[in-house]
Amino acid sequence: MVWLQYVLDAIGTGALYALMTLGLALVFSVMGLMNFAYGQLIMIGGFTMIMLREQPWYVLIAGTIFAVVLVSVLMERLAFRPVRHASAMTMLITSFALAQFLQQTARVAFGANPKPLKQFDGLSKQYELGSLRISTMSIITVVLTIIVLVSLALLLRRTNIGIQLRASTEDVEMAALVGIKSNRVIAAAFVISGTIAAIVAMLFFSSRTNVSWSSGESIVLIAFVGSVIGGLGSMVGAALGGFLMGFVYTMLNALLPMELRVFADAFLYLLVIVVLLIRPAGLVAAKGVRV
Amino acid sequence: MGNSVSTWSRWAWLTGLLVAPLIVLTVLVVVLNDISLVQRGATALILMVIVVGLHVFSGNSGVISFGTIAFAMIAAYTSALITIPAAQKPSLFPSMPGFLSWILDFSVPVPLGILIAVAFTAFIAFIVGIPLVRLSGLAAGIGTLAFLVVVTVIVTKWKSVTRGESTMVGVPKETTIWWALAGAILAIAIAAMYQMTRRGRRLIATREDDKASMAIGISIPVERLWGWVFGCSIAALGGALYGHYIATFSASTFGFALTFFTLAMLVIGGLGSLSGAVIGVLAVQILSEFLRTIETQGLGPIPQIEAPGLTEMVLALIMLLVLILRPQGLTAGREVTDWIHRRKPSQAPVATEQAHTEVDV
Repeated sequence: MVWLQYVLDAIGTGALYALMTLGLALVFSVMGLMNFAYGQLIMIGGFTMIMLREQPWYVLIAGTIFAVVLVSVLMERLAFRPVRHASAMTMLITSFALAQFLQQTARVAFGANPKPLKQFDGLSKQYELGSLRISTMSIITVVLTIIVLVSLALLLRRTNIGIQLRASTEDVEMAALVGIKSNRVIAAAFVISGTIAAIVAMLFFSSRTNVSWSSGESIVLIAFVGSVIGGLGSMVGAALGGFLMGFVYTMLNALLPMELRVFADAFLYLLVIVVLLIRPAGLVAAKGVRV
Repeated sequence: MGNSVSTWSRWAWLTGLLVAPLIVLTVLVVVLNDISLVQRGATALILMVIVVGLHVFSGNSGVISFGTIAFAMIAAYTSALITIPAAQKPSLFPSMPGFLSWILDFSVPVPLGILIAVAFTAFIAFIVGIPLVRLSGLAAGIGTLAFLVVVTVIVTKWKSVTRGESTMVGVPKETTIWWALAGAILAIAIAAMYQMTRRGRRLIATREDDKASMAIGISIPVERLWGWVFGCSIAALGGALYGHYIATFSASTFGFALTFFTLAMLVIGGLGSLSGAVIGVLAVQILSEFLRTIETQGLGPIPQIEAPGLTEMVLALIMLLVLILRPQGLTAGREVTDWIHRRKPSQAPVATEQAHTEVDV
């Protein structure tokens, strides 16, 4: 039974990481940009939650989504649009510089010390199922992940903008030739990516006690790695890659012998290298993406 | 090349033109005899060694590496472990594992320590390079990044050998600004030599057109492995010099921050040329010291602005502006000698094609 408990915990973490990865992978598939500043969107979401903590919950949720989406769209307009036709390396470094800029701005604005978050008592409540424990938080995370996945799939398949997005993912030049406006499609990708980042921020920080200017760093690393091992250009792959990162990491932490547990990260990233060597295009390789 | 300038003369010109300003600046800094200025100069020269190492692999092969800093870290720790006086070792490493206990019994002079550290690191780079150079594009980015994470975690958590988070102390502080200058000159001379020899030319050919280079019989993994080992060894030299310069360091000294900082220098200078690496280090380092002076004490008419993170914030903003306004960097991938030899500027590696059909970074 203790095994099942580990698996349950791992699914909760895996679902959160899957969401994180989706937001990053969506932008990548449309414009070939690995957006390192994505983690900072989640950090900004955390600080917005602190600023709105005295407001009713619906204002808090709407405000956080609004703020993060706004920054996400501005990012695209001011920083990424000018370098869109530069090499992938230049775009990557641009997003690096942007991440650094947002992070340091938060440090100047909010100070170097972590800021405490409001605690929501209801979320940490645990349900007992026989000998198993499940927290409200992990149920919400899993349910929200499924909702986001399904609505993303519907959006990409059924709506006009979604079909344009998918067309641009396949071949951005061809899509532009048949009249799809790249600027609009890319802006839409950043709106969706920002919305997902806001949701991740709310889930992530609800189970933590504070936000600091450096909160976004580790998140983007996971999403970055998850989206590449999952398979670039494929949304299912990204979700799977992110999920596996969270799942394997939690399992390693639970199952490794005590003296090796501190090296859990090292084992996780060694596994990542092995996966890359066996399948350089990722677990679910998308058609037409050359890596 | 279609002109009469010999390889040797081109090598001498490139090395000379890049090294001369460094020598002039170093002498100037030493003559001014301002302690903080000397410190900054030495740091800039050591960083230059690391960035030149990054250029030798990433600049010539066009493959991004987030892992090069890991080799600077390995070399700094290796050199520290073998140069700390034997008398101090038992108290610094009370629980050294048995199979490494021989390290406690001896210590070597610093220059020899650096040499051994670089050789050892080159060996590690060779071993991990065999699988890593087979990756390209973003997979290479992730693979090398994953390697950096692995090394960082091991160095942070293997307390009995690396002292973990309680930092490496007691490292002989012997690197002077002259040593740093010598390191930078050596790195630049080797890098200039490499990219003019057949080996380096072949690596550059794989960057320009992988299929055409394969068609004329170039083995991409072999050429990349050479570039990788050379580049990582130069970065290792920089890391070892740095370790003996700051004398107290931990894994975070060589972490993501330094990776970002050095890569940014390379890209701002102009990816693909050695001149870009050198100019990028000078430009970013001078700018960042200028900002740091304002933050800590004010400069002339500018009052002191006390806000932790302000330097980094403005620096990141200026980097962003350079990238947006001049995506190919300050040198646009050209060498300083291109203007002298009046040959047609080599095609910059930073292709302006649609980036995501060409995921290769």
